[in-house]
Amino acid sequence: MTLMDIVWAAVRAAAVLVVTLGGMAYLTLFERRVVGFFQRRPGPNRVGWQGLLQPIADAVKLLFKQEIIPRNADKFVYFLAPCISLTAAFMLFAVIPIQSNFAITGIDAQTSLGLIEDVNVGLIYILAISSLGTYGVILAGWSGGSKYSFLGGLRSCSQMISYELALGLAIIPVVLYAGTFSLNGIVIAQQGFFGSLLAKPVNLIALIPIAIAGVTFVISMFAETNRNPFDLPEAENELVAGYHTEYSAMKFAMFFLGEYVSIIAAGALAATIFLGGWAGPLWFGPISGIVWFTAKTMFFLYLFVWVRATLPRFRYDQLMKFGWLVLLPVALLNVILMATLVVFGIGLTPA
Amino acid sequence: MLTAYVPILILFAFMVAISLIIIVLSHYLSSRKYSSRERFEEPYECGLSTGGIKPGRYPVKFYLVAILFVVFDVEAVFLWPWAISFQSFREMGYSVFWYAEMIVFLGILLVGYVYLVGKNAFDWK
Repeated sequence: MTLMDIVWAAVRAAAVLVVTLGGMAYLTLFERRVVGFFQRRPGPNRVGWQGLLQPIADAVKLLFKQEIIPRNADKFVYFLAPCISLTAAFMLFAVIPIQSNFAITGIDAQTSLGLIEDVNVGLIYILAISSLGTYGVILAGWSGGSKYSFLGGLRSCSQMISYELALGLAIIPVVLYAGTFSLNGIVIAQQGFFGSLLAKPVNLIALIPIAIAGVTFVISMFAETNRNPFDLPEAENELVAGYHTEYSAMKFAMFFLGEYVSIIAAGALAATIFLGGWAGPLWFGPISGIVWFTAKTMFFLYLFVWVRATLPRFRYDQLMKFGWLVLLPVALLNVILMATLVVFGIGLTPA
Repeated sequence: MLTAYVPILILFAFMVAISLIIIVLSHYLSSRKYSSRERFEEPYECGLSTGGIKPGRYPVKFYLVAILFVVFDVEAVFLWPWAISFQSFREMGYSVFWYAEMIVFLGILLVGYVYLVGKNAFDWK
């Protein structure tokens, strides 16, 4: 590892940060405009052309807001919690591949360009980091010193760990298919489905468990990112604002940032694991990887907004029942189904 | 091998720096006009005068969920290496063994799951 490698890695990390921050800022605008159209109102369209400067206005406003620190807050934990939330959300992007050498040169090269790094335990890394987000939430709920934020933190914690099980099980059929934990390896293994770039034999039966796993994965991701219809941690008619009730100004914005960044990460992950990531049926030059990846991620982001505009919120007991009595057994049986197919030689990648 | 994690560490360092910058910056830029500061620093509980988190009882269900999570998450931890090891088992011709092993493991787990459902462990009342 030379100095040049480290500098190049720092450049990539900075690029990820800038692009993700920008994407997150405009995701908020996108969400508000789209929800506006669902509800037959224009949404924010005054600041700049079609409201395009709205995110900047919001950021400036939040930066200059009065900073309130509750008297009975645990100061250190109170400041630490939003940092954990933000960091955990951004760290997810470290292993998501958006482009490969293949998409740049048109030659099938197994060496990849994960945007920051393609580690061989990519999926495990993703699950580990996304669990860390729970700490931010429960510490925020506890350190605020308010009983509503405490209850919100408790609820959120038990919701996130319940759905994490289904999340962890949903990736196993994909691992069985691809035979690797590396996200880039999974994309390459899927190219028979999406892209036909390498023309691998497609076995349609193997698609059934993977499709079930995809649905399970997306539902659990809705719960993991605390989105509608699972946004009980911030059910404002029960708990004021849930775990971030006591946060104001930029520290509230950090939770907000973390939440939206993890939504983008969830969309990007679903696109990478189940829809073939940067691979696509059409190859048009060096940027085709990024274009396909962005299009697939945008589809999931739209789905997140669509579901928010459509579905009402669950009741808490329904949420827990759904997670433990429906999602977990389905994910487990799905693993067994995929294992059965694989052991009889159906739906295997040629090793 | 571990050099692959250096870029991730760099990203982590960036994130720590950004978090610190945001917190310090917002501290110095935020509005200084504290009107009736005392009231603002109380926990926001919709105007009801309460003292924040009271030591006392909270629903045991949260604890139960945490314990069950540990059980099932350990199971998932066993499933990941199992899933990744299929290729090597197949090359050795032991793929049926690989399959049967996990079916037995999941079968034992299923007994516990059925017991939990029977005990209404997932019923939030």
